[in-house]
Amino acid sequence: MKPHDILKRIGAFFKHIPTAIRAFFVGATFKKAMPSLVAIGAGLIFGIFTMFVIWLLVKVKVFNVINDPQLFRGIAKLLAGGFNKGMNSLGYMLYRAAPLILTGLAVGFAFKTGLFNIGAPGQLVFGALAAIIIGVKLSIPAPWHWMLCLIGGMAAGSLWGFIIGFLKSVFNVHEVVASIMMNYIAMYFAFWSLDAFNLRHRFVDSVTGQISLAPYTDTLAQTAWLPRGLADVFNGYTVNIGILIAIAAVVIMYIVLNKTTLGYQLKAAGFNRDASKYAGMNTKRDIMLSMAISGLLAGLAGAIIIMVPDKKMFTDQATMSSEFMSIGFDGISIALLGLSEPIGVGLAGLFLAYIRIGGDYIDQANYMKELADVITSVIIYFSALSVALYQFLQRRKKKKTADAAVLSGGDER
Amino acid sequence: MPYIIEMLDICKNFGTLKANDHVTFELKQSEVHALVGENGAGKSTLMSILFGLYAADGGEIRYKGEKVEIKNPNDANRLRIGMVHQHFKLVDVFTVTENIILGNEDTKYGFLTKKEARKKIVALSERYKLTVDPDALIKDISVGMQQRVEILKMLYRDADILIFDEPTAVLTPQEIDELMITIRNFAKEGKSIVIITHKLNEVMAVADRCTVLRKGKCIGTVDVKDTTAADLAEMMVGRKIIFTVHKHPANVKDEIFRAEHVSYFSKEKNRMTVDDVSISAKGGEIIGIAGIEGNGQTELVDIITGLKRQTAGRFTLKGVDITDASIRTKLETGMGHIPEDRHKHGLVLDFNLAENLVLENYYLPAYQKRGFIKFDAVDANAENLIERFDIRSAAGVATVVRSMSGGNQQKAIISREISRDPELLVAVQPTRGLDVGAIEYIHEQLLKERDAGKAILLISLELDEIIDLSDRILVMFEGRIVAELDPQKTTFHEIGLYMSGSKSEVKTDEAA
Repeated sequence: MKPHDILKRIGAFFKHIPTAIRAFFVGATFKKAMPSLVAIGAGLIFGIFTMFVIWLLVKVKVFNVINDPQLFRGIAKLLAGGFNKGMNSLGYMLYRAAPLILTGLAVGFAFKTGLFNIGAPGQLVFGALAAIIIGVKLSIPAPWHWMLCLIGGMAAGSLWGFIIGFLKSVFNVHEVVASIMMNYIAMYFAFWSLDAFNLRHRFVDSVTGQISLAPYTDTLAQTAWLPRGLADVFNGYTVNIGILIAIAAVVIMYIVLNKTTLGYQLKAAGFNRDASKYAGMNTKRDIMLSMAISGLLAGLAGAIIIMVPDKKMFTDQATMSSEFMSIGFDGISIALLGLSEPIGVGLAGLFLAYIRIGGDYIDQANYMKELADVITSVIIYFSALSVALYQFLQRRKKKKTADAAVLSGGDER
Repeated sequence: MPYIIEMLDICKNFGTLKANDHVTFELKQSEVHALVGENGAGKSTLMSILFGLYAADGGEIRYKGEKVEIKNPNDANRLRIGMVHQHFKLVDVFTVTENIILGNEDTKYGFLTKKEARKKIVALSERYKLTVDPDALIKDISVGMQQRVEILKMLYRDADILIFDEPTAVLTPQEIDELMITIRNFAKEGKSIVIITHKLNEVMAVADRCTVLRKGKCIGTVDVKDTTAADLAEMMVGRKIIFTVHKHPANVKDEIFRAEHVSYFSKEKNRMTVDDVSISAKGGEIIGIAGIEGNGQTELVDIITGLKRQTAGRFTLKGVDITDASIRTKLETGMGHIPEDRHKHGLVLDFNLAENLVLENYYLPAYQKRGFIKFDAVDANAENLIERFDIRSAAGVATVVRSMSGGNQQKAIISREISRDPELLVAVQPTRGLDVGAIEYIHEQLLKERDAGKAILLISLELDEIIDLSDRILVMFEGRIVAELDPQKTTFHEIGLYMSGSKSEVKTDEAA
């Protein structure tokens, strides 16, 4: 192809963008995204309203606080989200978004194939554990070490997901029940293996002079940290290639679901398992495959979380829940908000990170940062409701068609 | 004679669909009034309005000349209107008595007084010769008896206006005869009966008057004694229709498919639902499998096609042993399957038409390259089939199948199965719920396949369809094949006797 042609092509591509944007707002995509956008709007309005009520209560002296909340500053901080400190906070947002996007993809992909993978937390823990073992125990040169950690995390998560699929397709155990159990098993297995594989940090007790075990692991070898080349761009410390991996995963999942025979076949099973069986698809294998892919994404999220400087896994349940498992559960919310579509999930993950960072900054205006969690909760409730509402409307529509079918002899179901 | 019910100028819309468009229907005291029309003509809707299941959008209902509002079935009960629905509304694990009193229970100090009720039921059943066992569980009795339970339910509530929605669809010819006599008796006693049907011979046999609906409109009401079945058919369809299927004599070739002593044990029903069945299907013939619903036809199809695994027996297709083959292997060996339930098995309703038309073939090199679907080829295939089989849809290949009409959904399945060019085509109720035009078309397609040398297993509950299309008829009763009949020589009556188990040949063992 001549350079001229390439330029022409690029030109044509850009010419399409305005049309594409317009098409988005009037088209089916926008209509589909509507419930999520409404939910986000409702959540933000609720959050701002709560801030207002707190401000009012302080003003009329119902509450007595040392520092009065600053209403407008607080709202501005909240809405500024990842832009609060320019590139730095934006980088931090991307850093936090990466695992959220990946677990969102994990749950969303399972949804698309007709499975409810509530086991993302367990798969994530398992992925993180594998990355710790490889990252702490092995010493290999840099690119290979962190790559191996990622692969190990994916493989471990994948295995953990596969077991759930296996239980479902062979023993007919409902995946939700199996997932919940597997979450607990993963957590306790992790605690056990921190001891079993000598992963806990050893230090010399300054009083007794003896070697003691810390309630947390060693940090990973420096060669196992994810590259932080992006840190220069974002003028910050935390951001690493995790976000690039997450974006790549979004693209890959989009292609898998929409362009491949694998996606076609798994989606067919998701919409109608009976029909996929009728058509000769191997539904048992498909269930195991779906769960393995879903687990792979969650395991990758776990590896990305742990593969940063100074990150440790603690040996107590509370820290395990808040630092690892909760991100797996966030995946359910994100999948819901992103309508299980890879691109939607990507945006939902970014949004959740954005609003949480906004939450981090509102304490500068004397509000508590937990308000961000209130807002996200409201958003999730609304998006769950909007899905329910949508389904309700669909069912009414369907009932109408069914009613119409009554007059055709009642045989059409 | 005064009208007991007048439904004047009734309108009912479902979305943009006019289900009833200014329909007027008048029922006289103690007459049998048939309500006929094609599927989708609005018969059931009209009667559902009378029974209070739907509210009409316009028009009024009069009972003995007075305007009444029927908002729900309780209002209908108060006016002594009863209805037997096409799909029975019975509780499987309750006894006959419990089902009849359900919703109308007598109690004493808060306890049920079933004895009184049972007495009344026995008395009613003797009086109208509606034999039932008042203590049997619904799940243990035959469909015919279930229908009698439904009828007794109406009588128990002292209904004077009885509505029957397609009452003969699930009955054997003998049971149909009995039902007709019962219905005539009701009329003699002064009850008024509405019978919804699309079978014109029943109209001629039992009805006094007949109202014809077409596409939601009332075409007219006629006295049955002044008309003929052909006239009624013309009113129904709007054109003359040919009742017989044109069929060349069969040109039977070599054996294509063979089932040897196959059985299936159903865990849910705890019995053999397919019991030692042997079938040999040859190229160029249509084998019709007749039987009352629930006599093992569904399970037989499931084990032939691989949806379920047989308990015993062997299958051979084109000389290849496919006894333990997967569904895909069976499809690849040369089997096609038009499933009984097109929504459950036949289609992925949320996929578009093009995607549905490659449901079994998406993995073949024609439609994929290194795991990536060739959407151009998929769409081209769909366009070709839409053209060839005249599938109508709003947005062509991209139409979401859920939005298509039942007839076109069925055409899509049939086009997909036929285009795969299978040697054995298993067609289960291929015309269920479709209108006359679509039925004619599908019958033509099946005959074309037969004439092209394919073997076809036709499983249907419609005896007309079986007799019209088949070259041989096998009758199933309680999981066994009880007769092999020649459609040229047999009669409805004879098939009916086998279907109900009152007659049985020595078991044919043709595969041996």
